[in-house]
Amino acid sequence: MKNKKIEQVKKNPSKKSFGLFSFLMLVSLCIVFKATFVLLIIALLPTLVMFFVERKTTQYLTFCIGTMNLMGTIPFVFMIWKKNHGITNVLELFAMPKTWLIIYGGAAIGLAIYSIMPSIVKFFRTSFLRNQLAFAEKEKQKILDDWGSKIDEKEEK
Amino acid sequence: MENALNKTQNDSKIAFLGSEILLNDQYIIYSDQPLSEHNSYTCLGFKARYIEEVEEDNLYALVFHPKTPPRLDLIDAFKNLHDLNLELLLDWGVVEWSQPSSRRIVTIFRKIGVEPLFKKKNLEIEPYIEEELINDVIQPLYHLLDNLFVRGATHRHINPSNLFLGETTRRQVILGQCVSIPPGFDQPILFETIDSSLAHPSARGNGAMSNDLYALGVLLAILVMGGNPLFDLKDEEILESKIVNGSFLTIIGTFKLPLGLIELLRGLLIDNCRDRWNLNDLKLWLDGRRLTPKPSISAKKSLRAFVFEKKSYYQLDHLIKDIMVMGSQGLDVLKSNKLHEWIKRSLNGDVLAVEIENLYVSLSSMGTISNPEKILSRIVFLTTPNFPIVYKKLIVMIDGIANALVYAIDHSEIKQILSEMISLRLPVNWLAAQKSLSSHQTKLISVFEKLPISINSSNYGQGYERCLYEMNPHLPCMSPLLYDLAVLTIEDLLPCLERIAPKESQNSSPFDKHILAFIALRSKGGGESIVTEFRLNHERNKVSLAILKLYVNILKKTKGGFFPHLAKWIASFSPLGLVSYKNVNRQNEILLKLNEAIKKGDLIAMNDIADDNKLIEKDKIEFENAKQTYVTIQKFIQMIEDEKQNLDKVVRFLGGKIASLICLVLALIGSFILLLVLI
Repeated sequence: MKNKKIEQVKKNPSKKSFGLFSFLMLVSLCIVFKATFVLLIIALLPTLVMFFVERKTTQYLTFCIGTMNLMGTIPFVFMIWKKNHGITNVLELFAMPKTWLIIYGGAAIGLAIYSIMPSIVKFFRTSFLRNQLAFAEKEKQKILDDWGSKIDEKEEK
Repeated sequence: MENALNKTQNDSKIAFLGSEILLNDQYIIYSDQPLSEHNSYTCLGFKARYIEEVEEDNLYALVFHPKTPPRLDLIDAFKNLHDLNLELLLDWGVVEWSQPSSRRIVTIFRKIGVEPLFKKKNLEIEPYIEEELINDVIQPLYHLLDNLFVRGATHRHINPSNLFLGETTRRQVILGQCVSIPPGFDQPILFETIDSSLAHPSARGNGAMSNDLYALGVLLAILVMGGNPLFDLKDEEILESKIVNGSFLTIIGTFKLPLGLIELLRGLLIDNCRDRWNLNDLKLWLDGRRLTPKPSISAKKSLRAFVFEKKSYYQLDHLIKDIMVMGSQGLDVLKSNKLHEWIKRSLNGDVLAVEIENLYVSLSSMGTISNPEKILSRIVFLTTPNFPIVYKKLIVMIDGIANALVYAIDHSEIKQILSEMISLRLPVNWLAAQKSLSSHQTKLISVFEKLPISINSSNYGQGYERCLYEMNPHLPCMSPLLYDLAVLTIEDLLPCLERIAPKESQNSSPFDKHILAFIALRSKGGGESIVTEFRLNHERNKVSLAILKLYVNILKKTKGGFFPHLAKWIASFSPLGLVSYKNVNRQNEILLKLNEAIKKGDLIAMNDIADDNKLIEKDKIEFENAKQTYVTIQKFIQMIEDEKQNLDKVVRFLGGKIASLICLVLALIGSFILLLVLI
């Protein structure tokens, strides 16, 4: 399997160079937008943690926390850009509890939504299935009443 | 036949009045006043009278045992045959009989004679003189036989025990009735021709007028001699003497006959039936024209005897007669060179000896060697074509097979032999071996050609029973269920089945091979197709429906009616066989209707209910659709059950999806609001 991938990479040298180019661009952007980068790293820490925790399963929890985390972060990114795009501003922002509350509160709301949703779904799904089953059993009984148990007999060959 | 059919259709006229039984609104039979002098193995005698003549006491009734019916093929020929020299058959019919509750065929006779001519067996009487014999015996009996001949009937019961004196002072004789006993059954060997004597008593057949004339010849000889000269001889000795010496010599012996009677008796007692005097010859003799009878050509006699089993034989007929009853052992003699040499040298039968050899070789090469009895029969046909058919020691006249089949109903050994005989086409072979055939025998060829197919078939309506009714077109149905009810016609069948239904329905099936063969042959126009339809339905395992349709078809051909007991019997024979709808409600609904029809005894309604093809087809289609739906529902339920088992996993997955979606929406809205608030 590994060999196959290596072979694929060997066969597509353009992909390798594209990856390298992207990495260099990202590093360049991080250097250029250092303050934004620091803000994002600190603000999106719950998302990053969940990303690594949930790597091998469906990443719905990461998505929930991520979207809500991002919701809390985006206004502060705009605020930095609007004022002075510097590390000091970022640190000032993090010095205020409101910032933590908004950014990590968003992530917490995402976590909460993800946590309570299965129970809600289970409640509705169970009722739905119960109704479906009752309907099916009723129909089955009706057929049995009409045709007797021979309806259930397999045809003789 | 037509009269016979009409007869039983008048059942409404039959009434049972305790010990007095009414027949056809004309005759009363007293079941408590038996007349034992009229009893025979076939019937019992009872006193009878006209309903309007209280004092008359010269009538008697014969009530027949169920398995020995009278000669129904000729009964209408004898009915009201007003010949002063024959006991008069006034009427016949089927009546309700008291003990046990059953039906019986009854004949009503008027006694004409005053007393029997021979009051005791072997009693001697004063010999008849020539003139007396001509006027009081020959003349009247000639007219009687002529009357019978015109009607195509034979008497076959001419012997002294059946001879009565008239009421006049003269010794004019009157012949007793002959319909109560199978032809020749009760006839002493002395009065039977050689071929007929060889045959089993039940298989002598109606014969021809020549049989009656032969019996008349013997009777005349006895009357002239004043008694039976051979009364001390056994039947076997009489027969042997007839074969060796000829009938005339055997009976007359050294007795000095009146000159005028010699030629008459010689003519009537010729053993070869082709040379025997016929009615014309007798008429000419009575008219005074004296004929010289052909010399009786007895079988060739050899000078040198053929010794077999320490017995010397000079005639081939004599030898064959003994070999016939030896079975397959006799074949060793017939194929022996010793016999062939004797035939060639002593009987000048070079051709016959070669024919015997050739026949044996050809039959052996055809694989018949495994059945030596058949080879024996074929060689007997070749050597003595005038002898009856023999197979496995059973000897039957060609026209006696019909009666033998009836007799064999209760004699399984004879039944088996007769079945094999017919199956092996021996009657056809016998007919082919004859030098000439009468018109009656010619008709029999086509009958015996098709019987082997029937008797070898195991299909319903075929087999032994088919042959029985084919050969006896007037025989009542001999089914073990019905024989006690004298079912003569198809119209009687259903009412009689209805009658036995209450007691038989627990034990037996409402049909059997006899009933099916009876229907196939007696049902006018389409009996065969009715039985074929029954067979097809039966093969489809629709037994009750097959039986129902069988009787409905009969019902449609007859006058109809309601038969509640029979309906119940058919329904109970195979309870679910009649109505087998898959839809429970429909089944119950139809069963209700069916039960109503059964209660009413309406077989046609039952058939309509049970055989509603449109509804059956609809039920079948609906069942298939319901089955498909049922399978789908089953799968759906299974799916739900599976989901319930894995609900946590599903819910987690689904919950994650929904939570993701909600978070995305909330994030978009929240971002927008926060941007507005904070910036």
